[in-house]
Amino acid sequence: MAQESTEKSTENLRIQADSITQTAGSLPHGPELFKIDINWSGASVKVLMGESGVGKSTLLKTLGGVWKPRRGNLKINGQDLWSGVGFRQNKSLLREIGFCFQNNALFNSMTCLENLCFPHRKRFPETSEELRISLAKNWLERVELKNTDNLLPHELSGGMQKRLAIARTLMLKPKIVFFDDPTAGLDPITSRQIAKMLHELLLESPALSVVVTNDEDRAKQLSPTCYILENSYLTEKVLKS
Amino acid sequence: MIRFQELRKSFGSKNILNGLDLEINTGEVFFILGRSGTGKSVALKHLVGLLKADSGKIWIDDEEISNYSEQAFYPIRRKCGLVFQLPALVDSRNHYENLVLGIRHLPIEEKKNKIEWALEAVGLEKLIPNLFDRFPPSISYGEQKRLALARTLLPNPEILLYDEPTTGLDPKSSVHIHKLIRGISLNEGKTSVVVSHDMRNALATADRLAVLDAGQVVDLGTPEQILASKVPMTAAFLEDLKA
Repeated sequence: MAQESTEKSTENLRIQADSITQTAGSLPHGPELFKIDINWSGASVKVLMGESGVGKSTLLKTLGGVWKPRRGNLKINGQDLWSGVGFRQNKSLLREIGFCFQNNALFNSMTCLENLCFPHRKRFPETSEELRISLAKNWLERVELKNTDNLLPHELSGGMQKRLAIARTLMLKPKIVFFDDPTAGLDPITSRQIAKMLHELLLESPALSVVVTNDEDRAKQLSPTCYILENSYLTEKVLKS
Repeated sequence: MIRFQELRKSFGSKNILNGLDLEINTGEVFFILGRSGTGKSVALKHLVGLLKADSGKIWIDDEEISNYSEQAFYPIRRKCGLVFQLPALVDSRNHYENLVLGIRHLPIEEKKNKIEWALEAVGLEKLIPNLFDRFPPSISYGEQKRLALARTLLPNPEILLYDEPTTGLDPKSSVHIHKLIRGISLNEGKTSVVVSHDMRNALATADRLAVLDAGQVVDLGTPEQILASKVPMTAAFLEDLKA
């Protein structure tokens, strides 16, 4: 069960959304799904729930800088995320964001170890290869994927792929991290294990995390409260245990 | 009636089905539960010839289909509608074109009526404006799942096979889809076989359930019997309900 408070520090960990709007799939002419104000700060876990099609994943992708909001201002750690040249994200700020996609988005042609090393190499080119490999092996161990270094994603079960995707996201030490339905499609036993592992990893991690889930049992494992996206707005709700 | 007898299937060195024995009655709403990789979807795919067993036999009604050729499976596939785990919609076709894929031979008016019924049944009718002209990537994953379910219902198959029909859906939509599965079976006498991870809805919907482990049935019974079961795998599945 989630602990009563997961707040740790409010310094440099903040998501501020001022009346941001977004269309389904960020399509230019679609109806707007929501108009949202957010002011979340501190190392904590925010759980986002809501009916299918209401725009949970769309909100997550908008907050995470995958899609630009149609309207409104979005600040991450006090800086405008979309202040890059033209319609580009602020690159240095983007480095502080981690995203774990619903479909895992693993590199199918790369081994488990390389799936962890490749994005790390891009983000931290100054790190030595020796240290990178040691970090990656350590992460594989933390997510209970020891001895899978040389396996390809298709050789892993759904739960193992999910653990690899979580490890890849957290190995990049993001300050703000988004998880899109990390237990979708998993059986209840695996799903419970993944949520427990994720909760423990996030407690250790000095990050502000936002997790979308459809499963109230998993939500309870991650946080005592959740945010419901309904009728275009977010409302906070206490999760009954 | 659907019957699996001593069904075995391996992928390389991985044994998925290890002598599966299972009988599903006509008109029954039957749920198959189990951990990922335990052979639930694999068993379902054998029924429509998407996979061939290494050994063992499969019957649908009085027909033994285990060794059918690809061509012999055509009428079986008309009899059995399969709702895939992923929506499996054709992204380059609009929603109307996706829906009519299995009923192209019908007159336009009949197609229209059937589609109206199916969309209402899956609760999509009022959810999305200009539904027909839009394309799958423009709607959410949950909406795509409902659209795929509507497409399977349209040709009116006798047996409905659902491979995790509510994965990725919110609890309210899951309840709605499960009630729909039950309703279709009761009202139209269709046999429904549902592979699922959703214990709450499975227990509320099923006539009977089977729990699979390592490619074999380890528990079988009515929702009441499953709830009272002492089989470790079943108990582990029920943990959330008892928390």
